[in-house]
Amino acid sequence: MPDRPDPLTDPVARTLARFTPTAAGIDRDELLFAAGRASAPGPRWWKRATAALLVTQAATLTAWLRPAPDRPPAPALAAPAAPEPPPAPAPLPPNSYGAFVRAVGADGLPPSAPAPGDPPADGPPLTAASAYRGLTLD
Amino acid sequence: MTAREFADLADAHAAALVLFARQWCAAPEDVVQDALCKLAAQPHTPEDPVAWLYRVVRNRAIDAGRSDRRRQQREAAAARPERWFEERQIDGLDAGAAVAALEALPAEQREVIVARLWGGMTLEQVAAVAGCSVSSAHRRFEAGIAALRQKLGAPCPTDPTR
Repeated sequence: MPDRPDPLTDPVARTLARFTPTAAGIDRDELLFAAGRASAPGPRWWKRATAALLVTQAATLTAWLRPAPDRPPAPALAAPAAPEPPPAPAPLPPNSYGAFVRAVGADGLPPSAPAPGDPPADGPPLTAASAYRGLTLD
Repeated sequence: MTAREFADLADAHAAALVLFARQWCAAPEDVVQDALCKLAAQPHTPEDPVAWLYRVVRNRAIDAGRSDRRRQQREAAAARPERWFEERQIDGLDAGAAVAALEALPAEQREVIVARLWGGMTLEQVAAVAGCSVSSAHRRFEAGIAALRQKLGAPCPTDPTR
């Protein structure tokens, strides 16, 4: 019992205050054990984390397993238009070189004569060393 | 609050808290244990732990009394009377008579007297627990003591004719 001050002047109050209340129903050891368990901080963070994970997993599964909505058919792509034929070449003067090339074709022209000083077409390829040798031989 | 302080607090007030809770419910020990566990779980110790305990015990006992009132009435005949006090009598005052006189008091007077006599609380603390003014607590205490004196057949100390 706590140390009670005795401001009670009434003898009945003083006599009553001397009675000691019973606490037979309270097991001190059990009480202290329960209090110690209640005072321990509960591991609440993992509960919150588990709940958050469950929510996200459920949302993911729902989005994943839900059937896709019917989409409207994609519009058919228009076939590419055929390229227009090139315009007809403009007429050339009859005696011009262009009119001659157009008449005989590019393959029908005679090979051009080699210019003086050019290396023979069937000789060894022109390199810096062969050019130097040619210069020194002259 | 350290474990030692808590144990000392429980040792000092558990019995009086049980007596306090007994006014409203049939299982006062459970109410007191719950209140002490709630105190232990508080992140910060209340400024006045004793008054805090009495307030919590009072609220919980009232709630428990509401829920078990029907059961208490049903089992009243078979229930064995529980002892409120350790002593059988003190200075010729029988404990059973004291309990009967206390039970006959109005609840608002009884809670003030129990908190004051056996809880060792000041009238300010009692008023805070009971939710009334200090003057009301004082008035209830004086009226309750007068009623107890009358029921127990004790003479009034201020009455010069006795």
